[in-house]
Amino acid sequence: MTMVRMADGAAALDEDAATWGEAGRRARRARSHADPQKEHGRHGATAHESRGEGRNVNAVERALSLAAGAWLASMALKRKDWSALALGVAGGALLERGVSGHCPVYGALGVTTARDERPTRLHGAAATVDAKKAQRIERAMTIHGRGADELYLFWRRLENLPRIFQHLESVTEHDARRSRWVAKAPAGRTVEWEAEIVNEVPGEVIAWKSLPGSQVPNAGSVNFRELPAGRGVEIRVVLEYEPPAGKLGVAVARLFGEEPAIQVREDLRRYKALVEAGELPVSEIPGQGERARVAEFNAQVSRGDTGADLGGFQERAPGEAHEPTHVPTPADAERGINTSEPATWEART
Amino acid sequence: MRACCWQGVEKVQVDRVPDPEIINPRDALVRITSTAICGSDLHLYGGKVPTMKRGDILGHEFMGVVEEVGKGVRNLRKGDRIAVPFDIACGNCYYCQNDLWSLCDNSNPNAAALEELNGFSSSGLFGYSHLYGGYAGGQAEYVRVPFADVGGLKIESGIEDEKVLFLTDIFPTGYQAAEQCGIRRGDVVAVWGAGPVGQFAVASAFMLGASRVLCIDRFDYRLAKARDLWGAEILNYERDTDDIVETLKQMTGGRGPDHVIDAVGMEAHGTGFYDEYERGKQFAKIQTDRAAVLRQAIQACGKGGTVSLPGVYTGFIDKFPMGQAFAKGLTFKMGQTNTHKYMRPLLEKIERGEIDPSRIISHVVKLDDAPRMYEVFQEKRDDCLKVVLKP
Repeated sequence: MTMVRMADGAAALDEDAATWGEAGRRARRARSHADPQKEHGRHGATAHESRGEGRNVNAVERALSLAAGAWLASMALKRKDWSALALGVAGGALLERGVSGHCPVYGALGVTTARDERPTRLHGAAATVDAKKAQRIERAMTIHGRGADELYLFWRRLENLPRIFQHLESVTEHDARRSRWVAKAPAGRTVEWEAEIVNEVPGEVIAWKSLPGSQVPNAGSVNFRELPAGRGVEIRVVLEYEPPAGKLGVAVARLFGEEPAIQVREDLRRYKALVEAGELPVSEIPGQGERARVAEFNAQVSRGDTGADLGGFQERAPGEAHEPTHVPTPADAERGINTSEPATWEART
Repeated sequence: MRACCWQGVEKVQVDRVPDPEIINPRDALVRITSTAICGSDLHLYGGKVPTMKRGDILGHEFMGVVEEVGKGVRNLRKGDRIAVPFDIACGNCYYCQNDLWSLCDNSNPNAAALEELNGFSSSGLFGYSHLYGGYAGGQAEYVRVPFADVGGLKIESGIEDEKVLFLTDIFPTGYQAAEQCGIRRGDVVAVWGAGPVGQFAVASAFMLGASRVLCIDRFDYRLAKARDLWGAEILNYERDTDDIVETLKQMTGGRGPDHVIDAVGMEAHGTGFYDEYERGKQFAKIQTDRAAVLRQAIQACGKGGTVSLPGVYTGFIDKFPMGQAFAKGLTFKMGQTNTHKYMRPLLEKIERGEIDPSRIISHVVKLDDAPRMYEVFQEKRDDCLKVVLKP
């Protein structure tokens, strides 16, 4: 039973792939190399249940069992004859069934009525994201002028992902499936986790999930769909994660402009600009912060220290495209507008 | 360098500010030789466009000489003379590739904010608020031009600045307004507003085959230009008519104009009670845009015609005569000008002598006179039609 929720968590991502049309259908066919535990979990009844050890009675039945068991037990206590023993045994069994949620009869028959229940917390090797605590981020964009295979290859090399997602510090690939991720957290801290790829179809989909013991349990997928008539490639990113400080933590992060949904949106916007235009739009907002940023960026350009080839994507000017490490973020944008403060760029008349 | 900076509502001044510099690979640094005040700058001047900040450099119509280029610019060199479109476009996204340059996906650093407002972002613009990217404008001695490799149009003949400067905005804007009407030979076109864009809309409508162009304004000196320069039939709505819609209908044999062009936009003037009502609503923020001209244009447009809007709208309007528009089977075309699309063909027309855009210029002054000229242009004093500034 404990595996059911995990299956849902990972399956949710696969379902995304499924609703994504042909890519999803092929993704499911290709799932043979996906996590076998997940396959198991998808079928609901686990090894525990078939051996008759796990919970197999749903909440309604358990309540009825408790009530009936209590009533039988009270009857048993009132009677002085032999029937008291029978009532007591039956009442006790019902009480046990109600308290434990396990029915030996169901177990023997291989039946469960508890399959649809969702425990509040995941356990076990396969658990990934707790649906009740999870934040889900979904963002789609269209990139013009590149093929799905080309874009896929860039994303599939997970070590490239920190170049897209600013709050990822690094991804280190151990082998074809397993990798270690380090992300920036508020207050200068970092969080780390091990992840493995659970699904991949070249040119179409990559799905990954964190492994047990993660500080931030999470799962993600990216789908690529080549549009007809040269209309570009639709890329859809889905991320699910358990925020370390729960929903309150998300609210606090939002106050500081660090809400992951916004970060992802802006990260993807930057990625699109880099791929399509070969550079990020930057204005010369007259303010000291912006000047400093421009200076930092210029220093980087003059060092030639950029290498933003996006996996060989810069056909326009190979080796000459530059990716600044710090470009305007949504917070900057907000700072840049909606303020009535006078520009710090003093007029020197 | 010196630059004309926005300092608040109806307050601009020429300040000394740091010189711009190359930031991105596809940038060029341009020494400006001529720049102009656009009618849409008056929306900024009047405080009608949000997210302006004190110190922002104004100006989106400019040309000059390339001083320096970034590493990614292969087609321009120091010393090239270029005119620069007011909209900034990457040249590679779907919209740029389909000649919809003003809808570029990748040129606005504040795309998120504009997306919040409009649902989608559009291209960055020079000197036109932080919603449109916060780019420094060209009413200055120097300007940084992002994506100069696709924007900068080289002017290789010795033709004077004044004849080609308006390729950067108002000539293509007037031309797009006429072109998107789908004018066929013999059509009658009505143009509201005899300002700079209206002038070019009138001229372009004739170029594209209109048999008559009717121009509506309240300033005789501007109407006279439209008549004398291009041959428009003119109508002063304050003096010549009580009912502009009926008058236009009678002037066109009961058919109404085949197409109508609103070259006025969100700060339209009207007459009488209705004008006061519009101003009151805009003041009370019930509507953001005054739509007197747009409503008239829809009402006046003949059956099956096109309502073309080069005039700028930014927010909401009410009492939109949708039923009339539907009943008459009208087509609406609008949006910022896809300037890049028109610059080269229109330059060729100018070089062939088919049109001389400099004829609308009323003032050529020094950059330092910009604050005074904003005021003159805003108040339509001194027969002001188009101001060119020389840094």
